[in-house]
Amino acid sequence: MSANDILDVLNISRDDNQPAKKKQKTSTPTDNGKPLTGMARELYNLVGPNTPPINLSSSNYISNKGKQNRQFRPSPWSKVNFTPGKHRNIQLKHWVKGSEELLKQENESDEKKEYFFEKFNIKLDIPEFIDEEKYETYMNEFKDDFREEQFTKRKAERMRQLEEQKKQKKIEEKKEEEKRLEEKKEAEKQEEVKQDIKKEGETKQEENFLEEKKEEQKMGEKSVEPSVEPSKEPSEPVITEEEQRSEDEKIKEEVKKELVQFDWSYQETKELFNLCQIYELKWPTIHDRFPSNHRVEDLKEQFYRICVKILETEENKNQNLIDSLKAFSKPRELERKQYLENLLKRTPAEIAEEESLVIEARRFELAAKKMLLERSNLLTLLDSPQSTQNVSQYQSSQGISNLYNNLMIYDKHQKKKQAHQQKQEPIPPPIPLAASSSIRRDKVFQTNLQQYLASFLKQAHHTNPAIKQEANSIQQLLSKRLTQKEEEAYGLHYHGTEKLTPGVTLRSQQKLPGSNQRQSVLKSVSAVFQEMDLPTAGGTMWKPVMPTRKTMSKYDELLRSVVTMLDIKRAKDKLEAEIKLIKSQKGMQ
Amino acid sequence: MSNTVYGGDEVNAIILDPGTYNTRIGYAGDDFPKIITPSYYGEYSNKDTTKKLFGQDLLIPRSNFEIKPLLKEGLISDWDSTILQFNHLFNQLKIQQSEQPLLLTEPIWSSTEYKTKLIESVYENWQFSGFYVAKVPTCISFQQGRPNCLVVDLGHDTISVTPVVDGICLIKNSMKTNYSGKFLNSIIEDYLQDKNIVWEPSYKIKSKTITKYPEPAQFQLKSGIETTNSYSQFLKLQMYHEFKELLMIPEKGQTEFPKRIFELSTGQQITLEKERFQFADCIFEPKSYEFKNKQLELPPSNGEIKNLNPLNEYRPLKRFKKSEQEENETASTTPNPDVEVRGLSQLITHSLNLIDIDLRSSIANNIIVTGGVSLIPGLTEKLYHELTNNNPGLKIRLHAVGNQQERINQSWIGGSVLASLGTFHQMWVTKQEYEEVGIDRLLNQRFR
Amino acid sequence: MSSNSRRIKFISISVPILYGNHAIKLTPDKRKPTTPQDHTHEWTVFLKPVLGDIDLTPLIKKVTFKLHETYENPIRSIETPPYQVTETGWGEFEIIIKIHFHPGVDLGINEKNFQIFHGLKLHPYNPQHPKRENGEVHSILYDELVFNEPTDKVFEILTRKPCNLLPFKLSSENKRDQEYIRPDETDELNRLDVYIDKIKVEIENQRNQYKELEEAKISLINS
Repeated sequence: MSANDILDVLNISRDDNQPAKKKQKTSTPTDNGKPLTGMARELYNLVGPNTPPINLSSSNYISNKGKQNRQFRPSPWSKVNFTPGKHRNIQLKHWVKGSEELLKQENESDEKKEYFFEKFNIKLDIPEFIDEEKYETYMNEFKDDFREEQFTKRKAERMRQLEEQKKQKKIEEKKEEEKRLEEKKEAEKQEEVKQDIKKEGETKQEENFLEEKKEEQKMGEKSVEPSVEPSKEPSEPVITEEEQRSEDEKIKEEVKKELVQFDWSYQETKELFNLCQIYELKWPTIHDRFPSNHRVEDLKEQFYRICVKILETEENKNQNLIDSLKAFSKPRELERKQYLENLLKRTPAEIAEEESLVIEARRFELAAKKMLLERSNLLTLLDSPQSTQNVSQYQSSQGISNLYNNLMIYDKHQKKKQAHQQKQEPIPPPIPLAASSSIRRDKVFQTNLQQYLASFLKQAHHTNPAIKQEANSIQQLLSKRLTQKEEEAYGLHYHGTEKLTPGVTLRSQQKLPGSNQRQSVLKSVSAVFQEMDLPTAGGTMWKPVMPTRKTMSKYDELLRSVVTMLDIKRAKDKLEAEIKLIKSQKGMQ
Repeated sequence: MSNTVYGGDEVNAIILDPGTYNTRIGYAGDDFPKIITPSYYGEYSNKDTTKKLFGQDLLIPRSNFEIKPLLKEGLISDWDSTILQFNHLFNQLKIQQSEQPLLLTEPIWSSTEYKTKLIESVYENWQFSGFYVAKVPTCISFQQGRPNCLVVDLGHDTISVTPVVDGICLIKNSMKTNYSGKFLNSIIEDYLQDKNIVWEPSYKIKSKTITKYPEPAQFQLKSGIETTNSYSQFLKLQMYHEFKELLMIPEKGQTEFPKRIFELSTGQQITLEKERFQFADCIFEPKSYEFKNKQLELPPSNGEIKNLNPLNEYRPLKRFKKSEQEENETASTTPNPDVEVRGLSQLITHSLNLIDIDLRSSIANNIIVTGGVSLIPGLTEKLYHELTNNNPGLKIRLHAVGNQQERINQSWIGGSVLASLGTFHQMWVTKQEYEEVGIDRLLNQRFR
Repeated sequence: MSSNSRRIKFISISVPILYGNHAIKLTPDKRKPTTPQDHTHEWTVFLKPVLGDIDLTPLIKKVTFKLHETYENPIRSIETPPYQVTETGWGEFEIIIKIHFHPGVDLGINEKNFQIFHGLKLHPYNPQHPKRENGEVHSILYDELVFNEPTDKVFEILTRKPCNLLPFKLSSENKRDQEYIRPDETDELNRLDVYIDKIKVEIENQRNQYKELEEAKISLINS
């Protein structure tokens, strides 16, 4: 049914003028020349001349993907020829992104680009191999050098050996002579004795005998001496010429044998260099491909040798390179490899053994360290003063007087710590420091504190002699000549060598020096305190009811003693447990 | 670009990997060869014509049809037939020779003459744009992506152990014995002969009844088909293959041997108990099986490849420092130069000891086990245990691909990897170069 | 002048102070019109040296009392003695008393001005303290300001008069809970001494036991 039919049925007249007024620009599908088919036709019949706002077209039924695909053009790839590498003339084909035209343009515009992977084709820079003549000269040079070197070395060694042998001989001879002499002596003595027995108790004869004996002894000594002397004369044994010559020959033979290492033909070496170039100095491969049966170290040695010679004749010598090449030592390399082999071949038992040895060695080290530590502790305990500074400053007379002063001051401090204070005289009027010889006189009667303050002042005074010293508070205080009690009344306290942090603290908040313990210990201590009904203020703040200096120190003392007690108790408990254990063991036994 | 990530640059090269058992061919860049065909050819002689057939055609029973092998120990033995086979394969793949280079693989024990003949044949017979010959262990090391490794290839004909350093095979330290797949075949043959077990190819069987050994087999043969012996032997390979699938390497001190039943084409069922383990163990201890038929026995081989280096003098081998107890137990594992026979683990240990000490640890850490025979269950575990026991100082690590098919075709896949690398393309040798330079120089310089 | 900023090593000066609070129940006449109905007590928190005639102003710049936040301007800062704050309230809370010293090189006191925490007490808490009709409660604690290594200036200020004196007896009997006297200190010392002696005895005991046990162990091992 068409729209018109409906309208008729419903008796509605259509306003046909509207389209003209509205100037619809959109052409209705009915204006198309083509007749519409299918769904579109039906639809438009139904809807009428008014075009719907939506553009209904059959294209909706085409899959979106396809449409998108059509809109999306894949980038073209083209199969192009290329030449990998500069030297090869092979033409291979591969796929490259980009349309043919584009690539052609690229190729024409810039120079022919290098193949992408060409940059991985690295070649090592090996010195070019030389021609035969030079080679021969080099090798001969090597041989000669080697020969001479070895010759002199061995000769020296041989000479030394011979000398030693000769020395040994001489010593042995000497010993033998001495032995002989002793035997002689013995024999003579025995004869003497025999003679003695023969002769009958005549004192004269005895005297004679004694005399003779003495003479014998003298003679014996004399006879020993001359024999000793000749052996001392030649301090260096003489090596005859004949001996020398024979030794030389022997050495020559030995050196010849060793010259085998120079037995490289020109061809071989050339081949070696070639392989080195091809295989980029990868020695395992070179060794594998090398026709004859030299070891890797032989190859390396020969190569480095020749390279050294070649490089030395070059103009710009790279001395570092040459030195590093010279540093190659074949016997060392062989030895190293032998070590590694042995290392690999250790049986598991040996490995375990080594490990246990290492552990033990470490343990020993630790023990040694501990011992040293304890020793040093002990030494410090024994209070031997260590001289940490240079002693020489004290070696002049001024130095000594300085030292003396320092020691006196130090000593005073020590004394102040221990000595008791003494009573004071009544307070004299204040005296300026400069004229205070009396202060010095009254030193004895000063308290520790005052002595300290006095010395403190003196130091200050000396350091600034130019500045006009005001009569500062310290002087005033000193002049008051307080008793100890009065000092206390001022709240002053001299701490001696105790460490003081400058600043203000609250007495109750001060940490007691005795409370430097582990947490567990502190806990047990506070438990003990609670038992004793001491105010603990919960936790580690032991606060006396009235925290003054004295009470705090008393607290500290209490704390320390509690700690000690706990320690002992713990040790005792441990012992008890051990005893129980032993008892049970014994009991079971 | 895949260039920068994988270093790959495909040129559609062809990889051809001939092996003693199978020949593989396919495109570089693929992860699997397109064609795997047995390395045999059938010769059909009929009056005046002789026709050679390859591939699946071989299986059809014909009279006057001889089946002969193409390769022996990985080296081409029958050149003409092989060339024909290659042609056949190239045609199957519809290769455009002028557009594609060819990569051929060869084992490391090929002589100079062999190499010469190979290269000449390729250049004369075909017009590939480029050609290269790669050694099998190199390919395998590239497939695994390990530049320093020890390739242990348990193939059909040979077991070879080759160290690879920086991708280049070290020939002097390589070892090869024949105690591999074929050796196992001969053991099986000996065993069947000894037990008087009859075997007939399945196409011949008309009817059969299931019998259990030691009952004699009951079957009837078809008549009228006469085939040659070589054809039967070729089909017997299939049977061996099935038998070998039952093998299993025993663990040390294993007392229980689970049994399996092997049914022949004749219907006869054989119960295999400890034989399964005993045969498989021959890979490690070749002397442990006593051949009844001495003809089947292989000559003893200690692994050294003789014809490689004329100057391969006797090099004193280093000895182990072992406790006496160990020596008594493993008498055959002492690297005695006079040793006759080396099993798998001794081969590997010996090869390791010949390697330069500096490289030894890194190579021992990268031992690649490949080849069909290595799929026998328990082989890699036992190998690992034996190697670690014999080499206490080294950290041994075995790598074996899990996928069965990959492991069998690993060398081809390696060749595929190699030929698709961008950095490889400068190695191809063109015919032009071959003609200019001559074969000797080529061998020296290019095909190293 | 250099001498002024010089510290005197090895010396410390201490000044005893008292701090705490009084509290008294609010009687209707004491209430001001501004006092909220729920306030029950009037209290004063203070800090002062024990001896009334010691002047700490050259040292102390101000003392701040931090009250509960419900109070307006909870931080009360007092700059001249007497350092105290009087307020009304109903609850007990913690007051933070902070002493701020004069900064400066002269005094050499550049410490983080330290704090004292005092719990305000409105209700009787100590059975030993006499109960009073008017609900008067005192919570007063003794402490000492210790100046370690004082500079000359500090030294001078503090040694004008002896500060560390404590009265010897209570000003009156019913001030027991408000004042600290010298005998308190000696009492405490004595008490502590008793304890110390006890512990020492205990230590001796333990030691002896330990020795016995050691001998027993050795004999056991040897037997």
